[in-house]
Amino acid sequence: MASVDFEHIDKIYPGGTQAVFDFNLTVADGEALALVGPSGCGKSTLLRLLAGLETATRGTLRIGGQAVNDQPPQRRNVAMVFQDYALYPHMSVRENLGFPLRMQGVLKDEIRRRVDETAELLGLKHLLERKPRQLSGGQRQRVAMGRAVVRQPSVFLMDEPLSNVDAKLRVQIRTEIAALQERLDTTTIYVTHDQVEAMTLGDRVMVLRDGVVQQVASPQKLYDRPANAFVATFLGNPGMNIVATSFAEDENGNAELDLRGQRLPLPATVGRDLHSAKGQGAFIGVRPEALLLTEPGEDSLSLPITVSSVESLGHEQLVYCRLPDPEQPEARALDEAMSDFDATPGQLVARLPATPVCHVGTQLRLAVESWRVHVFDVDGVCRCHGLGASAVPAEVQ
Amino acid sequence: MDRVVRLVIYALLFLGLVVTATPLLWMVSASFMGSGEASTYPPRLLPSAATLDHYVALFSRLNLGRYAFNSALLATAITLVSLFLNSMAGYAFAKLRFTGRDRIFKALLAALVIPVQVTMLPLFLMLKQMGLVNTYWGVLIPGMANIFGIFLIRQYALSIPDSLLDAARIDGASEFRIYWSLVLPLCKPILVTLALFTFMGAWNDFMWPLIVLTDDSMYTLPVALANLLGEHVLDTELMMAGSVLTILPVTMLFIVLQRSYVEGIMMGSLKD
Repeated sequence: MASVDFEHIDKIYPGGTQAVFDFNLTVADGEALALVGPSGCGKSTLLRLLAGLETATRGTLRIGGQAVNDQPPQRRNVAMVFQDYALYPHMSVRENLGFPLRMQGVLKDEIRRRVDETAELLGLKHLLERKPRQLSGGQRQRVAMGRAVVRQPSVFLMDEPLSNVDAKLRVQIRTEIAALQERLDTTTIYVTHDQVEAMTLGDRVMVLRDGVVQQVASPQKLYDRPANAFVATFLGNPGMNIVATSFAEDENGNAELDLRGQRLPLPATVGRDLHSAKGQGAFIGVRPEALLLTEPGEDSLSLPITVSSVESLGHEQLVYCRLPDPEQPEARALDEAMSDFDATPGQLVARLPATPVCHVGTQLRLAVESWRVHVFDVDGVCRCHGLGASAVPAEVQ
Repeated sequence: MDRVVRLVIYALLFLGLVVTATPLLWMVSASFMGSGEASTYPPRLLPSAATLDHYVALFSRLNLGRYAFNSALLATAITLVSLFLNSMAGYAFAKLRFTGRDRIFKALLAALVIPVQVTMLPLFLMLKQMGLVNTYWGVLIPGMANIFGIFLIRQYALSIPDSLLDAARIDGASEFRIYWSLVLPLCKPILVTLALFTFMGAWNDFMWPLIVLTDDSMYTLPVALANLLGEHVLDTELMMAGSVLTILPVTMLFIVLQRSYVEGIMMGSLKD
């Protein structure tokens, strides 16, 4: 077991594409870190750098405190589970599991013992003599895990190991991986583009975009206090709703946000900060489950919407609705900036109970408690969580 | 109508079969005829009394065993060495990253258009300078690697997923170990094809051994057979017996490996 340190890592591929920008991260000994981001964000590159399959253009990589930049993959003692499992097709399950041990020069009897032990752990005992092509997808996945586990590496690397498994099996294997991780207590870096996997398998989750870290935090914190609009919209299914607002001032000259004529008070410090960029407005973010079909309370805002479509999921319904277009030209200009974090201007999604059933075209008012509103500046950086009295200034990353 | 067309097609195919098989079958038949019987007019199809005299003569009088040994030794050595070198080069061109890889490969492919005959003289002079004329090495060295073999293996090796090689690297396998324990077994179908190709080519090769080997005791079967033609120009039956013995081993080999050979050719063509 070992800690992992990335220090100022840059990766530029031949041809000039830069996949990773000044990347810094420490993964503690025994920690499980989930790396999540859209495809092409550089997460697999980071894994390959750590495994030694790619070399860093700049910076230092440490495993267990030792710089490994110049070490070939063979000498790093990391194990990797690949997206396509990468099982050796001409070897039996037993030979596949024993291969890394054989390469380490472990004695035959010892290999046999450890392979049997691992097979027992992963429920592969009855499959040991089969070839990979005679196994189902889930079984292959388990053999791939076994091949990583059997050698007792200092770090586990998992490159989207569940993306080729069907949805039902994925849930089962996800639980198994979590249990295995708990049991082995080995430092694990888990790459995925599936945020549910990231949230369930990581002690901490890191969101990556275009080779740049967006936020590293515990799953709950990431969800409750996203550092920026990208993280907010990327996590959660559906992601956070983002709405453009413009600036206004109350009678005392304090900055407020104006959402379709409704005034949203800002904490003084945040207001001052944002005000220096006056005229540009700001975004507010609301999770779909924070939108309620109740009368707005004292500390709530109320959003007038028109239902544009409804997805019924049985136990709940996802109600897609539209806000009226903003009157202020600033807010309209902001709408255009929203494509940057994957949000559709003026569209909201509410996660509502299955009843009462909403119908397309209905006009409703949805209530949001003000502590569940997040404020983002024009660049998408989160400035505070909650409004007015319940506001908590966001940590600057 | 369909029936007629089919009949015509079968008739044509049968004609083709007769044209190609007759000389071969007659060769076998003539090798069992008594001396002079094959040259009678009108020609005979079957021996009047089958005899093994010519086969006995080949082995006892004409030292055919020695030539067969030479052929087997050279063909086997060329096959093994060229399989080893071609597969390493093909794999490297397909999967390893090194400067100038694609340019070197293109240059090699371009060299494919140069006819073998053109290279014979310079090659001979080089071997002469090295003192390898009239040695087994003189036959073996030029056959140790060939561009077509490298190309065939490269095309096949391209279909091996990179993740498999990466997995082996992470599992601690050295680059040679990856080639030996992973790439070679995965390339088996194409290797069988190439082995057959190379073995038949080396076994049947006439021109190069004729040029390089001068010592009678080093002759391969085709060269020895051609000599036989010169010395025993009238002894058709002996010639035929020699020919039968020459083509027998490769024919047997082909029949045994036929299935994987055809498979290999198909794969080579489909996997690029």
